Amino acid sequence: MNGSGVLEASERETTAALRLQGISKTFPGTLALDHVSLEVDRGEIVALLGHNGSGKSTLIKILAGFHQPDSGAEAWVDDEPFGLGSSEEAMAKGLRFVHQDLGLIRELNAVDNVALTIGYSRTRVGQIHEGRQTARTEELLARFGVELDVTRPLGDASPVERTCVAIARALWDWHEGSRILVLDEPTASLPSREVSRLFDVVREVRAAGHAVLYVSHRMEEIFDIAEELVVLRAGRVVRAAKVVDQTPRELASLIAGKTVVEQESVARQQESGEVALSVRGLSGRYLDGIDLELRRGEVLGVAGLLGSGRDELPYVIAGARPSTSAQPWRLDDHEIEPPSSAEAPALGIAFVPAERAREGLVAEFTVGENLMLGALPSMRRRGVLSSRRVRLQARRWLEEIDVDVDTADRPVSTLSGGNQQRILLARCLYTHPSILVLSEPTAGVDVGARQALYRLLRERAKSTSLSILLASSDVEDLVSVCDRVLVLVGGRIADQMSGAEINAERIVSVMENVR
Amino acid sequence: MTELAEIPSSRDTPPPSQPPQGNQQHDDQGSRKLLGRAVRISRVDKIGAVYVLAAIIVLFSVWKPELFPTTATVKSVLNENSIAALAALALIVPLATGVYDLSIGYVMALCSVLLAALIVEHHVAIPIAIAIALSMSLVVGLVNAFFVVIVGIDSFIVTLGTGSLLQAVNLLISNDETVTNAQMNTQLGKVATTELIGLQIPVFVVIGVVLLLWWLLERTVTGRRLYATGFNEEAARLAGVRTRRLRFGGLMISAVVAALAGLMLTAQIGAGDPDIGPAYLLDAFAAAFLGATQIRSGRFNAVGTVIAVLVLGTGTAGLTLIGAQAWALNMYTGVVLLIALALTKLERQQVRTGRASS
Repeated sequence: MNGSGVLEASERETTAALRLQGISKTFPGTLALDHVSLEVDRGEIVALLGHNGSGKSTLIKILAGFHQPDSGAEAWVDDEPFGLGSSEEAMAKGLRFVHQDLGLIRELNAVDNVALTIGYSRTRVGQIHEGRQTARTEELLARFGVELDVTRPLGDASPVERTCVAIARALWDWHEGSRILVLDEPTASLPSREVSRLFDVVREVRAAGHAVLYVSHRMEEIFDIAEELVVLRAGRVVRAAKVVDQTPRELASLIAGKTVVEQESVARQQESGEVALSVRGLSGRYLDGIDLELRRGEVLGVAGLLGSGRDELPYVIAGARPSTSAQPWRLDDHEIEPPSSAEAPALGIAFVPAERAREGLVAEFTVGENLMLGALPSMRRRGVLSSRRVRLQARRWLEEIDVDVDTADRPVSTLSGGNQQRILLARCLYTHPSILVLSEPTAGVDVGARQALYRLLRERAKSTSLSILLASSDVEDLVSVCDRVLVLVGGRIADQMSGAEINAERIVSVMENVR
Repeated sequence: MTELAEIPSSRDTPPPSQPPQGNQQHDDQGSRKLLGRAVRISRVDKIGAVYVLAAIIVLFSVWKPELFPTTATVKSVLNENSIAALAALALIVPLATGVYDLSIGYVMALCSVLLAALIVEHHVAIPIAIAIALSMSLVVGLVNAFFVVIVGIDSFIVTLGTGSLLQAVNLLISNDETVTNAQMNTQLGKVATTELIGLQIPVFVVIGVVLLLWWLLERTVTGRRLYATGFNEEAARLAGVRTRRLRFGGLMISAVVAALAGLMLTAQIGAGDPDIGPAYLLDAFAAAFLGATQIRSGRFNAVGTVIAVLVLGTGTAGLTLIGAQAWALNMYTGVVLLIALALTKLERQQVRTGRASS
C-alpha cells in the first residue's frame, strides 16, 4: 500500500478529526476494501476519489453505519475510539452525511424538510408555530449564505439550492460540537456555474473549523476545493497526498489504473458531409429560435448552463418534448413534421435520455429485454416473439459492446452504471439509426468507461456515417468527441466552434459570460 | 475496458446450457435441454403456489379421504372458480401496463342486467342480447380509457368513479330487482351448464382466455411493450413505445373480459342481478397479484393468475368440506396472499442487492 502521504498521527501537531486505520470489507466473492487508512483534520477538506467500484461508496456506508467493517478496523474521532458500523455512534460522534440524492422531499418546502431533522417548534396546543419555524429555517440557511424562499416546494428550487439546504440541514446543530461532514458526489447533477455556490458553502463549513470529506469523481473541482486527496482503486488507497503536489493527468491515470492516453488527438471531421437534418427557428420551453444543421458522420456537441436549452434540445430533436419551428424540418431532403417519440425511431432517430434509471432502462426487465426494447418487431418469427432470437441477438450485441454475454438473462439493475449506459447505447445502435441523440451520456460513468464510450461514438460516426447530437454539461465530453460545438445561452446559439477551435476555455467563457 | 469485476457473480454463473449458435443440436443435447427446462420450470421460486396447491390437496385428502380426493371435488372446484378466474384475468392486462381497473365488478353486473332487460323485457334473441351486452362493455372501456389516457387522471380513482356510475346505471336498468324468466333460466342457463367431460362451458372459456392472454403477453411484441409500459412508462415512451395506446387497449380488454365473466355468471344463476359483480373484485385482485408471483415473477401473467385462483379455490373447497366456518375461509385467503407477496418481495430484494438470480 502506498501510504506515503499519510503522516503518522504521532508526528502531527494537530489531532485528526477523523482517523481510519486498516478498514477492510469483504463481500461474498469480493474484497471491497483492503486495509484503507485515511485522515481528515479540522478545518480541512479532504477529497476522496475513485471510480465506480473502487470501494468509495462502501467506505462511506461503513462510516455511516450501514455496513460492518471486517475485524481489525480501527477508527478515532478526535482521538477517541469510534465504533464503526453503527449509525447511532456515527451520529453521536458528529459525522454528518449528505448523500447524492440529498434525501429531501421535493413536494415539501425548505421549512418542512429542515424540520424533519431539527423538529418543529409548537404552540402550547401542539400546533406548529409556522412563523417561528420559518424564521428558524431562514436563520439556519443564512448561516450558510443561502437565500431562498423557504415556503416554496424544494422542487421549484435550483439543484444547488437543494444541495445547500441538505448541507444546512445536516449541520443544523454544528455550534454544539465539531462536525465531520461527508459529501457524497454533491456536484454530480450540478451545472458548473452553480458548483461555485456550493463551494462557497463548503468553505463556510471549513472556515467554521469543521472537517469535510468530499467524495467526487470530477477531478477538476478537487483542485478548486480540497487540500488533501485520497485516491481509491480496487479497494486500496493508491495515493494520499496534498492536492498541490498532483497534476490532473497523474490523478486521472491513478484513478483509471492505467496511463490514460494523452487526449486522443481527435481526428475531427473537416470536410462537410451532406446535411442529414436541418431545423430552422426551433423554439420550445427553453429554446428561442435555434437554427441547426446536422451533417452525416458528424458529432455535434451542445453546451450550455442549466436553463440555456441544453437539456431541452436533445429531447426536442428526439421528439420527446413539443416544439415549434419556423420552417418544417428537413430530414435527408424530405420535409417532415416534428416527430413524436413514437415516430422518431421510424425516421432513423434514436435517443439516449439523460436519466438512465428513470427514462432509459426498465429495471424489472433483463439485460436482454432492455437491449431489444427498441427492436422488438424484428425479433418475431411468424408473428410470434421468439425468445430464442431475443437471447441470441442480445448475446451478439453484448459481445459487440464488450459486456459479459452471460448477463443477458440477468436483471439490468445488477450491472454497473457504465455498463448500463452501454446497454442503452447499444439498444439505440441496434436499429441502425441515421441520427443518434444523446443527453448527458457520461453522467455517473467512470473515467475509463468514458474513454471507451467516446471511442465507440467516434468510431460509429466515422464508419457508419451516423450523425450524433450530444448535449452535455460536462465540457470534457464535448472537447473529447465533437467535430463541432454549439454553445447555448438563453435558448439561443451564442457561439459555434469546430475542429481545432474547440477548447474548454472558450466553451466555458461563452457559457458563463454572455448574459 | 471491463467492469466485470463489479459483477461478482458473473464468474460463478454456469455456462449457458445452449451454445448461442447452433441450429442442429445433437439428440442428447436436445434432451438435456428439455430436462434443463423442466428443472427450470419446476423451481420453487417460479411456481411456489403449485407446491402449496399440492400440499393443500394432500392435506385435505388425508383429512377427508372419502370426500376430498374425488373427481366430483375436482369438477366442482373448476366449475365454481371459473367466474373468479375470468374476473382475475380481466385485470392482468391493465395491471401489466400499470393501470388499475376497479370497475370490472360493475361491468359484470352491467352485463347481467342488460341481458335480463333485453331478454325478459324486450324479447331480444339470446345471441343478439349477448352481442349487445358485450359491446356495451366496450363503451365502458372507452370511457375508462378516455379519462385515464386522454385526460390523464389516475386510473384508480377514475375506475372507482366509473364503477359508481355503472352501479347507478345498473340499478336504473333493473329497478334494483333480480330479473328472470323461463327463457333466461333454461336457454341462457345452458350456456353455463352444458357439460363436456364433466366440465361446464365457463371452464373452457377460462382456458381460451388464458391461452389468448398468455400468447399476447408472452409471445407478442405488444406483450413485451405492455410490460415495459407498466414497469417504466417514461423509458418505454422514449424508446418509441406508444404507451398511451397500450394503456387504452388494456382498459378495453379488461372491460370485455369482465363482461364475459358477467355473461357466464348470469348464465350460471339464470337471472339478471345488479349486485352480483362487485363481490368478485377483491378476490380478483388477490389472485392477480398472487399470480404475479408465479411463473414470471414480478409480472402479471395469465397462467400464474389461474394457479392463484386454484390455490385459493381449492383451499376454500377443502375448508368447506371439513366444515370450517366462514371466518376460516377469509383467513385462508388473507394468509396465503400476504405470505406469497412477502416471500416474493424478499426474493426480489435479494436479486436487487446483487445476489444473482442464478
